[in-house]
Amino acid sequence: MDGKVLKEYGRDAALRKAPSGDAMLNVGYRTREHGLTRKLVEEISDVKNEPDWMRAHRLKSFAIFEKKPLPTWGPDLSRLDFSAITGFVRPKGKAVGKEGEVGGAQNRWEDVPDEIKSTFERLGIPEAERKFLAGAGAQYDSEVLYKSLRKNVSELGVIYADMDSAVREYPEIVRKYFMTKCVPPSDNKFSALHGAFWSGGSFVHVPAGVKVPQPLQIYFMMNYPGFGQFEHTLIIAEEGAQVQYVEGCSAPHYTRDSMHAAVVEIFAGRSSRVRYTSIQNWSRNVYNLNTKRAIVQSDAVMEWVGGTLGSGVTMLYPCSVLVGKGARAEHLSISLAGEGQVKDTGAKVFHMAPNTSSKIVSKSICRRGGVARYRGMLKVGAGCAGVKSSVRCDSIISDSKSRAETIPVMDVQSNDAAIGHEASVGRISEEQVFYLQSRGIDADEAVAMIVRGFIEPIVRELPLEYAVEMNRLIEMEMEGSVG
Amino acid sequence: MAKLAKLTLEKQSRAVSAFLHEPDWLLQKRLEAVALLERRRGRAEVSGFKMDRGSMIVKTECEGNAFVLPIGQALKKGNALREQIEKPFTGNEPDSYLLSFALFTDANVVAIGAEGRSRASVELSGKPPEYFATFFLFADRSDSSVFVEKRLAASANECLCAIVGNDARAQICLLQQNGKTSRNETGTVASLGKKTRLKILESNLGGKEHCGQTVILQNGRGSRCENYEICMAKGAQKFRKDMKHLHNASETYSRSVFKCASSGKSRVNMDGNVIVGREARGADTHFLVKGLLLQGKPVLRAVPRLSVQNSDVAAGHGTAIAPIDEDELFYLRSRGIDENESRRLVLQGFLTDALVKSGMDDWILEGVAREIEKDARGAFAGE
Repeated sequence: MDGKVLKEYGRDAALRKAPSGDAMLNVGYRTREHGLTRKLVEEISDVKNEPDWMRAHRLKSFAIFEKKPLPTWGPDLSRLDFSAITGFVRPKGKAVGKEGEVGGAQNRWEDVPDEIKSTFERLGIPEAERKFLAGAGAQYDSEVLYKSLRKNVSELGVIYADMDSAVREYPEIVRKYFMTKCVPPSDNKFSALHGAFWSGGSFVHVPAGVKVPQPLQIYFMMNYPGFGQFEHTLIIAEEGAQVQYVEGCSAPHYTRDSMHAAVVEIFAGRSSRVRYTSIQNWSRNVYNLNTKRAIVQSDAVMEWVGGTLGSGVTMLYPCSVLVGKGARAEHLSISLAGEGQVKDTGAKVFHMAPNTSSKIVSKSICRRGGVARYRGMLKVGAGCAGVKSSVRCDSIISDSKSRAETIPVMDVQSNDAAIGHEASVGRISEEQVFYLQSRGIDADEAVAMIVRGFIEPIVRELPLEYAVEMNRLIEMEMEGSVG
Repeated sequence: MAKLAKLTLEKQSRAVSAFLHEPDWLLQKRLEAVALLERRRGRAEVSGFKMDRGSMIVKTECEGNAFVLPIGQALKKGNALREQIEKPFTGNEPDSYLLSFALFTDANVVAIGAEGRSRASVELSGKPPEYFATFFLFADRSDSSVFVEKRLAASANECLCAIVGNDARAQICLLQQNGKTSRNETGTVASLGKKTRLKILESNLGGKEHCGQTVILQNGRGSRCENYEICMAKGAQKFRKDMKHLHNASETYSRSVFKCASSGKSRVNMDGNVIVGREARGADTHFLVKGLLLQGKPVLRAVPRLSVQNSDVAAGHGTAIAPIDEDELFYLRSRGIDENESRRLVLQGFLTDALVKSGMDDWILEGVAREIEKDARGAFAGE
């Protein structure tokens, strides 16, 4: 993935008019009307030829979505127009089986249509798979086009499928876990919206004791203008299992606003270890409103690593619910807010069992009028003894048009909990730059070094390819930030 | 005593003003408070309001250029109070401040003149009216310390206004040791002039329930404010503190420290918000919340917010919540001190540390330390 491609498909992309005609947009099938309506819910269910229980789930979710008001405590969402969103676009090349039933994702890269393949190739998907992934997937608009899992990993009993296929192929597991215990539709307006219109996403099941040796990755692409992407990710790691899952996201910058309301549900069984990494690089006209949550059992470790680079408005608070004794959560995130961007991000950890621990590290950089807000929730339930938690959130603010805020909530209902929180807001000081310059380093490189040091605790946890790109993007963004 | 029927806030405010035979400008100011409150909360009716002056006992001791007067006398003395009160509201005043301002039936003024070092000690006891007010006026270039002890026997709502003039140095200590059944709500606004140095120490120890909403406005360039809040919550006590600290001018400096020891079934809620505005270039602010968890099932909630709107700042906040350190207990016990006494000493040290760091006058700190010691002795009783 090179910088040029990221500029074209990411947050730095120039605003451009969408190509006209479905053929130019690689559309195989799409809903005829705009708007997120009950009719569309039924249409999606029909098109996907879903079982009745899923159809009922969608309709129930839609009823909740209609009842719930938009949240007013966060960024301004008043311009978000649900009636202008195209809620379902199936990409060209999606296999269709008998009786109109849509097949699963292609598992041969050669079968993906050329136009789409070239986009993903420029983003480095097959290359990354060859190099260091146990499995890879690619979603284009509403559905996953490509999914593969290495033979040696599938032989261990690991399931890595697209979510639509999982509903058909593993109904018992999906029905048990899909939006039931972790993120029910009633959780918030956007989870309800997601429950009604979800399409695509990943299903990962790692059997007890299995350690997936390399990361699984999926890349999400939003190509249709004014589109709503609602992919669902369900990861189940049984007792003692280990898995690392990586997500990347891009969209071209069209004149019409798009939205992304994903739900990620993770079940980390006893003594398991799950790492979920997400690098979001949507274009700046995307409303990115996700709900991500993990239920973590005894002695399990849940790690969230995130980079929020793109999108216009982001509301994202990955959540760990530590329900088992000795469970642990780590949340590491970087947020970059530039012109016109509002990043309302953070982390939530609920310590609901004794001897649980958590660590939250959040770094944000805001400039050119961007707003970076850390919003955190740390709760220690009654009677949960031996709880330990540390929260660290730092911001760099580089001009007086920008805004950096931290809103950490700490709710302790136990008399045996050690909670620490630290936050700082400042700029890159001229003294630091001067110090480096006096040692022969030019000003731009000095800024880059300071910023690299600032985000290092998170970047070092990213897969190499992502870490390199993250550094490059942030350096590009920080050019001319001295003073 | 007149018990007013269910009336709109505006009508009640007018009735209070007539009852106290106030000048028209003060009524207009009350109505301004009503209008601002209603803009936020909508039109509201207040019922069961008892319009009386209560029987609050005010004991004072003043030295130097300090005066403590009932509002009626203060208004007769000159225009200084009127000039300050008549200034328009900034819009940052907390709701509880505006409500108490609209309905107060008793008020005292603590005025500090410019010359020399002054000090004032005020003790409020007895039965207060439902709403009362306290105004602190610190003249330009004044240098003073004020200690207010509240030992009220009944529930009350208070509006507390502190206006600190340019180049003034002021220390305000508020000790709340109200009766066991009292529920109190205080709305405070402190406004700092240019190059002002203000230290505030608030100790909440007594009462059944205490809710404080404080707004500190650093509008004066180069002003410095240190704000210390100590709270010991035990039994079924409930404390709620909402603090908003605004840096609106350049080169301003602030330090806020909130220390709370929680035990029993107490509930403490600390909501702090430090806002560094666009104009506050060169601001330096830090906000620290520390909680000590004792025995029982206490609930402690802290939300230390920080909002920075310019790049030339040094801003930070920190929170640490933990039970008593076993190492500290072991150290004390190894020196022959029993467990309860060791716990009490750690608790006392935790709270009085803030007093020492505040650097306020000894005569104030001694008074507060005495009350903390008394309360700490009770905290582990019956274990």
